[in-house]
Amino acid sequence: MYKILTNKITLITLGVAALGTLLFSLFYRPTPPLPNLLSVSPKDRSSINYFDEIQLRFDRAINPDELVVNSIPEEDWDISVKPNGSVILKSKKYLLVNTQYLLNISYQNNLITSLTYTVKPQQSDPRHAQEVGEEIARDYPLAAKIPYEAPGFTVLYKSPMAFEITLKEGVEERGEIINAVRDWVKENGLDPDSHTYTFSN
Amino acid sequence: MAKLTPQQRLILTDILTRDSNSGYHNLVYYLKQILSNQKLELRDPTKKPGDPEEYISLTTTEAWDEIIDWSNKNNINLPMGDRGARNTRAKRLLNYLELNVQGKNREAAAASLAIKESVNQKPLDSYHGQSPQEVSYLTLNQIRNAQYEIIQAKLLGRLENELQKTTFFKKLLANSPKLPNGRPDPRTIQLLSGLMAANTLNLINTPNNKVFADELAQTIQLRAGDAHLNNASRLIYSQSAQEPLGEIDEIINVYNRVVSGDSDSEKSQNLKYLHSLSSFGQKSNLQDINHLINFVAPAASPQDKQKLISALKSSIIETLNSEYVSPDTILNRALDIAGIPDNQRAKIIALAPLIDEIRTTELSLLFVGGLHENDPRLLHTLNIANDTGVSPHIPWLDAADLAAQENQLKIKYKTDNLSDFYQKEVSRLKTTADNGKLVDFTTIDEVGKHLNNQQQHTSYQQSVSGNSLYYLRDKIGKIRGNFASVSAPVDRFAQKINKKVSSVSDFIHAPFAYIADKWLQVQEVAPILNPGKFLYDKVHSGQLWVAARLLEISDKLKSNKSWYSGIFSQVSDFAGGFIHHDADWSSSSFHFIQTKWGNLLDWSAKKAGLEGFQAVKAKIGTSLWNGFAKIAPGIAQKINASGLSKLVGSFMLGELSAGTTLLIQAGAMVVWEGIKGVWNFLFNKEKREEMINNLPLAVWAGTAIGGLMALPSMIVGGVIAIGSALLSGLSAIATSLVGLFIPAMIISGVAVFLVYIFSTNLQTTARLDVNLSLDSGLGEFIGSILCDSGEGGGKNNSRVQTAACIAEILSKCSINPLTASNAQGSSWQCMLASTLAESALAQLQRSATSYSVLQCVGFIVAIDVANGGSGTGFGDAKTLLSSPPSGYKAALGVGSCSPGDFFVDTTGTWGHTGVFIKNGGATSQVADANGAGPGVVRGPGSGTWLSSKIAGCLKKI
Repeated sequence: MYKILTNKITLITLGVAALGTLLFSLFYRPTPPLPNLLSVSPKDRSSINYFDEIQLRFDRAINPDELVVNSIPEEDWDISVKPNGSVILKSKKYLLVNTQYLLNISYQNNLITSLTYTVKPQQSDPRHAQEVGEEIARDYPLAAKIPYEAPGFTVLYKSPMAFEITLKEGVEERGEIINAVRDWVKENGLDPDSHTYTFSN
Repeated sequence: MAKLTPQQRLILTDILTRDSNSGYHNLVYYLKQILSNQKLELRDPTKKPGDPEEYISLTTTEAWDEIIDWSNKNNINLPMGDRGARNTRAKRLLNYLELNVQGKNREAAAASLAIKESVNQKPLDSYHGQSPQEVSYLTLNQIRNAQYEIIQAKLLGRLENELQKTTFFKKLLANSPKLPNGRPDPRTIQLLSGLMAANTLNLINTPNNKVFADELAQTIQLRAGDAHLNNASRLIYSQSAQEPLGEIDEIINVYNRVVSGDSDSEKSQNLKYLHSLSSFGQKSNLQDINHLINFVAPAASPQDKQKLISALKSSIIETLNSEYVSPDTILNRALDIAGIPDNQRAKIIALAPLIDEIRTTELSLLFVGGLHENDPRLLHTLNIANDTGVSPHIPWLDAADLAAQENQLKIKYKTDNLSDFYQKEVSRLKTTADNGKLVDFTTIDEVGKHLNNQQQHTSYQQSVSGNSLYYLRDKIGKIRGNFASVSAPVDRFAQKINKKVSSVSDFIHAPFAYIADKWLQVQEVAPILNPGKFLYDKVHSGQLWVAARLLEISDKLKSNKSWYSGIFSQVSDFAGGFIHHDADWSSSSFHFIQTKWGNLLDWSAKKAGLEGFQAVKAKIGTSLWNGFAKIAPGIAQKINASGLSKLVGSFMLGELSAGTTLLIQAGAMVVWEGIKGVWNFLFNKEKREEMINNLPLAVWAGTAIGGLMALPSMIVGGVIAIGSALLSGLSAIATSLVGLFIPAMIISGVAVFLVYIFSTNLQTTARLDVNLSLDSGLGEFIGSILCDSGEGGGKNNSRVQTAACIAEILSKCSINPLTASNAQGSSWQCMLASTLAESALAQLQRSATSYSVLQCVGFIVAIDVANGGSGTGFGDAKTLLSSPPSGYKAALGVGSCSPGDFFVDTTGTWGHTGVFIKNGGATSQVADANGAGPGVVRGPGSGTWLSSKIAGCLKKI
């Protein structure tokens, strides 16, 4: 035994092996196992509201960059994670009502689970309403205050960011009126140059 | 023994007997009166209101003796006890009723309703059986129609329109003959109701008559000797035309003599036969509802009929364990549920007397029906039995028992086929040639009932096995029922033990009980021995004495035809009401306000030189009126009727709950607002001029006087708030005196001025609610003045105003957005207390709970019903223009929309809708729900929509 341990070649071999092991341990990163999905709320194959969030609970904290959600029909999903392993998925737009959704949830390119939900029917179209609301907020920011009626004129929206001013009978001072409308736009917190101003008569 | 006359005793017996059908609510009240040593007062229905003998007064001993007498004579199965002190026995009986009768009834009804709630209700198919009941009902219809035809020819032809005829029948109904116990004869009511229904529908020309023409002759003949029918005919003519009445009787009797002779025995048989048919029996029951609806609405679609039948049955069932609910209320609830528009209700409302009868019959079946007496199992299966069209006891019927009964009958009547045997017996009964052989009616009854049970049992089994919904309900009902039957012996055992213990206790305490009873009797003779009650009685008598003097004086002054006569007429009316309501300030004020409100408003308007009160409203201005109209009756009713009495009670008992404290704060704030108004008047020149300019109009206009009705409550609240410590002991007396202060304030005129000042500050006052909690009694009444949104005038703007109110109230109740959870939670109480119409609230709640959040369509339906619409025919938003709902027409293009119309966007998959407010070019102002987030309601001024998306509008026709 002593002989073996004092043998030069043996010692060199052992040294190289130890060094190799050390180097290997310094640079090798084993692939961690995939997180386990503990629960889903609402449950798979249930009916959900068009505005509902979907909560996933994993056994560990999740890196949002490695979690991918694909759905059919396609939606843009917001993913928010918490340190306790819970993940909340929320569609950026309202889900389509009376529609079945298939969600494929992948982590590090591995499919974790597939979920199926049916969105409850409504008597109207919330997605459409949302789009209308967005369009109004973007193109007609002062719509709630329109028609704007002043003593000598009335202001309506003619097209996106474009006002149409209708003068009342006998009113001629167009320059002053445009200034008055621009002041009104400013009072409402907007840049007067954001809108165009035309007269209908 | 008691001092009641036989007639008065009959009244008490009648009350108590009827009481047994409704969980002994009256008896419980009587026992509580006895135990608190209070006199018992029974109203004599034969006396007119105000008659000195209208109320029969009994001392506690007399009342107890009468109850014992009633129990003994009528074999009432209640533990009355036969030994022991009166109060001990009364208390024991009270406990028994509360625990074992009312408690179990409540439990059973709750279980029954829970079953109904627990399963998913869906429209059920109509029952299409041809039961003997159905056949008999058709026969009854024929008789009614034939009668109507004769009456039509002889008398009603002189009346110009259907309305006059119906009015005539209603008058007759109100004057129908009474049974010895003072109640109307139910069969006469039934007949007259049928005539009314027939009249309403003008059924005489329906093909039904012709099909049954032959049988009709026979049925008239069979019915001719019936005293009820003849009495009814006589009644119809007795009011205004004596001669034609004789003709009718003669026509029927001659016909009878010519066709069939007038053998007494035959008439007797025929009558018995008629009575054996359910619809001719003394009482209609739930099974008859299908026929009734078919009868009054033959042209309705099967879906509508079924909806109404289900709603009506549910409404009746829900009242079975409650205190008396009027048939009109039951019908209206059902019509609301079924969504029947107002203009189609008259025909169905005419059924009210029959509905009352059905309710009573069902109650007697449930609670005094022999075999099923107090059996909660019956209630458990009542709903499913009704939906499957069978009697409530059928679900519990065992097939083996039925088979055993069949065998026994076969042996008894020596036949192999009971059905044939029955048919033969019935036809033998109908054949006049078979006079020689008297028919055994017991046989017909016995076999007929068995066959009917057999048929219903088969029908029920088929329904249950073919429908998973029924199957589930059947199982749940039986499990609950079996549990109840298992626990029943245990309950009975416990009661027996208790009874034994009570008997022993009674024996031991007999001498003390004797002394206690004697002492109570002594107290009745010498009330001073009970100082508390003596003082109460004295104060009470004193209040009545003051009111009587005031009545005397004001009566004299009002007849002087002087300038103050009108005022004293009001004083007199109030004092009279105060006496009539036994010095109960709360209820006398409430009734006074109720009665005077409308009269005063119109009277005042005319004094102001205006056409009527509507004109005043227009003149005064919407803003002022909106606030005032809401605050005045709201506060007056709610504080007067309950709030104030609760408040006073709290002071007496020293219990200042959170709600009471808030109530006081509100009173103080209202007074403070008034003080601010006075301050404004004194020190603010502009305000003073404004008030002076408007004062004459406001004083003469009913608004101020109407507001005065609310004033006592406000003042009382404020006064109590300011001097609560002083008033705590004397509040009972103080409140009664406050009642007498009202006339004084009217006389002084100062009050009118104060009210006007209140009104000018009303916007501020009405807004007080915003900062108050709504989870209290105060919250409820404050809630009623929550909404003062909106703009006045115009037919369409009432819808805009309703939209604004809904948005405002939802926000104030903190449930905007409106979701299913907050539509069912405690916050909804706040909505219920608001000024929104109940029908509108029901629609909002229904929409939110059915779809998780309030729908845009639910929002406009609520607005529709709040404005008198039927709320029917509203489909998905996208379909509204292509299929306009009832009462609306479609107008295409945004250019056709006016304020208050319902706009429709047909783009997107399902579209959108709401209330159109204003056109703003490329965008429009709207009010809507679910357009800016789940369940979010946007009122006018906050909602917008793209005009290019608006395909058109729904306009009210």
